[in-house]
Amino acid sequence: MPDHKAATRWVTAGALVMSAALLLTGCGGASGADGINGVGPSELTEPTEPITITYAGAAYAAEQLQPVLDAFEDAHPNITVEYESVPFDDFNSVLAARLTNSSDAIDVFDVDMPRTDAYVARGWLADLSKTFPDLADSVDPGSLEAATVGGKIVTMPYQTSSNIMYYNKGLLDAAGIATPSADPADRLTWETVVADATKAQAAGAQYGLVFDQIDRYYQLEPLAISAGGGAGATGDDNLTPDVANAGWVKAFSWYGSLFENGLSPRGVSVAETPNLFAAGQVAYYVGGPWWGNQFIAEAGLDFGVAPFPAFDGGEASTPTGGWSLGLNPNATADKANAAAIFMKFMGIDDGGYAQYLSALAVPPSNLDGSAKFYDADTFKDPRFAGVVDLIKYELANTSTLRLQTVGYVEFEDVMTKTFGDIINGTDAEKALTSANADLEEAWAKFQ
Amino acid sequence: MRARTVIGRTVLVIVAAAVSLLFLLPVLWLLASTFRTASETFASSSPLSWDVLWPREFTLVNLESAVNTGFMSALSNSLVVAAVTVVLGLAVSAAAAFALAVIPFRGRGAVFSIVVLSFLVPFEAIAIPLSRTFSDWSLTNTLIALILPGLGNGLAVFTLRQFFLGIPHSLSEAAHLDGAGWFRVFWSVYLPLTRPALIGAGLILFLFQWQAYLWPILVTSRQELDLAPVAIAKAFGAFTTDYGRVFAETAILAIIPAIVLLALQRYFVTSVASTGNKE
Amino acid sequence: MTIASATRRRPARRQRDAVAAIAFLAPTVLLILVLRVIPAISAVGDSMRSGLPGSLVPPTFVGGEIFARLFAKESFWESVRQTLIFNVLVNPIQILLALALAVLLTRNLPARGLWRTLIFLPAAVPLAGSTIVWGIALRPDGPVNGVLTLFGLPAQPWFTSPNQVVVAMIVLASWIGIGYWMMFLIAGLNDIPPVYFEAARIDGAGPLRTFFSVTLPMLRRPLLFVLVADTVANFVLFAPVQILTSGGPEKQSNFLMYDIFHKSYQLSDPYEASAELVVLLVIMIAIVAVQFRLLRTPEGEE
Repeated sequence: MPDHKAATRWVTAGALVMSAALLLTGCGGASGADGINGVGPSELTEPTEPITITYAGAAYAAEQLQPVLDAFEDAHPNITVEYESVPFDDFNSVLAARLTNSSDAIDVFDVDMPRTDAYVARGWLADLSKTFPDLADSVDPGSLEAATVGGKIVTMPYQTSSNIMYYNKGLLDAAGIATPSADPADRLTWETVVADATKAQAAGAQYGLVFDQIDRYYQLEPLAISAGGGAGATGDDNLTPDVANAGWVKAFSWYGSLFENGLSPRGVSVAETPNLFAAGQVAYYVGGPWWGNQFIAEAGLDFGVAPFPAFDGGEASTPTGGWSLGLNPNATADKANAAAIFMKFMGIDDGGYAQYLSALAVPPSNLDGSAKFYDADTFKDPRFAGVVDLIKYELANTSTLRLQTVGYVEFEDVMTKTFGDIINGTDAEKALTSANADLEEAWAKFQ
Repeated sequence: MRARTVIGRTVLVIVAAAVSLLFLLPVLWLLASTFRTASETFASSSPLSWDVLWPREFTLVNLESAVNTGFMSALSNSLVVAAVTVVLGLAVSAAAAFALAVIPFRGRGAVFSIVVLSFLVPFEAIAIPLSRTFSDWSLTNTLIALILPGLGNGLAVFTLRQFFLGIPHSLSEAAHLDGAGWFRVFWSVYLPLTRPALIGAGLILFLFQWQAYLWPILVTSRQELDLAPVAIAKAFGAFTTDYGRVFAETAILAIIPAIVLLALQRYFVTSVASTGNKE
Repeated sequence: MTIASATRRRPARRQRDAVAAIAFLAPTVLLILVLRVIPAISAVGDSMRSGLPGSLVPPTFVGGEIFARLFAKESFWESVRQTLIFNVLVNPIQILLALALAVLLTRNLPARGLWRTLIFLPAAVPLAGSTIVWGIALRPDGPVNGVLTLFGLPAQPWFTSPNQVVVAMIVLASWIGIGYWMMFLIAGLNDIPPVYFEAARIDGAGPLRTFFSVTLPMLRRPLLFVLVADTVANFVLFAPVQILTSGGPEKQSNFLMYDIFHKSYQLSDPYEASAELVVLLVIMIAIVAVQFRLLRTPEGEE
């Protein structure tokens, strides 16, 4: 039939076009001429000609960061920083696309601290050991450790974090529960908190105990640590998964029971949880001090703070870590120089970026700069009594970094889903054993 | 018989209204959440109370927050991109659909197969390779980069082709006998008869750009070029999430196409009524 | 006029037709080739390459190894199964309800333009917004369960149960899709000349008879569009999974498209994702081909 032949001709033509296209698309990938080849500059010189660098970030919205950028441009008039704010939830994927698509799309970018090892393995970070040799003097030990891979400094840490426990005074009073103290020496055990939370719920609280980052490893790792289960992996380079041991099972059977017993709500996302506490529905809320502004704004919310609890007989452990800055290893020498000056400004100079921001959500890594954080008006509210000393103590004594491994991206992904299943009722041992298997499969490519 | 028809019609209206209300409930919730604080929104969703759908305390704080974070600029970007996409997209899609439905030529089936295959491929699957291409062509951070992928829409071509197929050939033959060329037939005979289909295809093109999120964040990085969905996503920050702003901005984005569609309802009428019989 | 008769046309006419066809088609075909087809080939090409996630080092060619590894994974087949279950259920539900509503709202009812717009409204809400709203609505202690318990029905776990998550997804997808496809069916219904309904009425046919003998056959072309487009839309739906369930609970909502998106974007690992994309495309092509065949009009226009 005539149209059959015509169709065949078209298909053949199409196939030829496709093969040609396939060949063409196979080539590609520009290589940066004149790049720094993965090693940051050992000497920083002030540029004599105007230069623009691109900074891609997820931690702050453009308006929030503007005062810092303005201050930087005052101090270094020849350098213009073009800030690209990327939605937080998609930051890692957009970063991947930008860095792999073209070698000069961005010069400096935010690095989620636990992903540092993975980024080094991907070839995304320049070696900064010679650029910032005295980093150890300026930042807190946790941040320094997070920025070091294989003995080399690969990022400029600029902010870290900690966690506390908020309690709703009104709900506790209604249940006749004594107000917890903010002194780390009087840290409550999880067992006690659960007992009290149950009482509070019986007395009218809608939820007894809610975790801020309800299914995130960031906030749940300390449970495993405190139960003696370790951070989740062992062996050389932390590439042998270990999330199904006795400690992990104990910690997460306990965690799952919170939802089973109605102390915590199912089906609530991470972003929604603070609104529950702000609405006065939660007796105990474990979360970051950055909710301070939102909670203080609720006039009717009478709350207090206490240390992040630990299991009875277990070591105290608190979440920590935040953001660092990384340098594109394929940047040109000029841009790398300007970018390094910017990184130094953010992390080291005169206490770092913190002094230019009116409101700090988290403590800066810079030891001098963190004074500004602790001095915030938010913390002067009587409801926050004791929080400054508490955070300082935790950062110095109980902060536990997240697992440092090349396979961190896969780890966090698997664990978030596993925690989600445990929250929704899957038996903890079953879920964790399955997670162990998934991790073995995911990490096979790194062995 | 008249009484039966009146009762019948009343029943149908009640059914229509009830179904519409059911579909509308979540949108009403969005509207209510626009005018109350996020805390109140969450407090009222559980346990169930009557003020799930009505704010206890009206406040404009969410709308203020939306305006203060540049949503109006993002909204106008979205409107411009969507409008241009609809106009240009309808032009090229209608032309292609016309060729695929009316003009006889060899290989028509094969070309149509390519069009169908093209919309089988999910856009997210090709967004990264495509963004690499745009980056190589130095088209990043331009309005063109935002508009272009919205123009090659196989689905719009498909729906218009189906409607063109329904128009009797006798009309085009008559026009040919009168000496009209293909363009005349297209413009003066076919297009006026397919207004509902054009609205449908326009909707497809419009919604593609209205919801566009992944593509914009891959090819644009400057805040001035943000589209509305990107602006909404930025409300989910690393430390705080302004849910009130999310609800307000989502409600605004939902209302605009609804108003447009309501205005275009009168074109959704029988188009063939005036042409008589169909084959 | 069929292709067969076209070949009987005079050569000059055929040439003019071909030129006209090229002129009408060129912009769209060019756009589709450059913006869809060629990147698709590149994406599919990744299914035969392998490399470390997110690495700046170019990947190496490994032939069919990725497919072999993929087909050996139980989690892959589970994805395929869940995807098929979701689609086999959601498509008929959406289209039948859309058709029912389209028929209802082409009766001569007052304010029908308003009803149509209200039912369409969910499709105008940005998908992320709809997802968040339904995520809150279907919380185990949320408003929907609140209404259910009000009527004495048991509260449902919805997105938090491995057995019910697919149902919850169907509810969400249908709320959005029914109004959208209804509009196209309304346009199609309005395209049927009243003359046919008159003839049926004169012949004494009741509403059901008219529907099956007159309406449905005349609705074949728009119905084919709606069927195919809805099938594709549901196969490539992933945003609700990404936002609400991340493929869970217990991987029961790990639909193929979500897995593809998740691996390529969130894990920066496009290779296995591309292999899954190929599988997804093959499934869709097979189903769409069957639909074209089923709803072929007698004139054989394909």
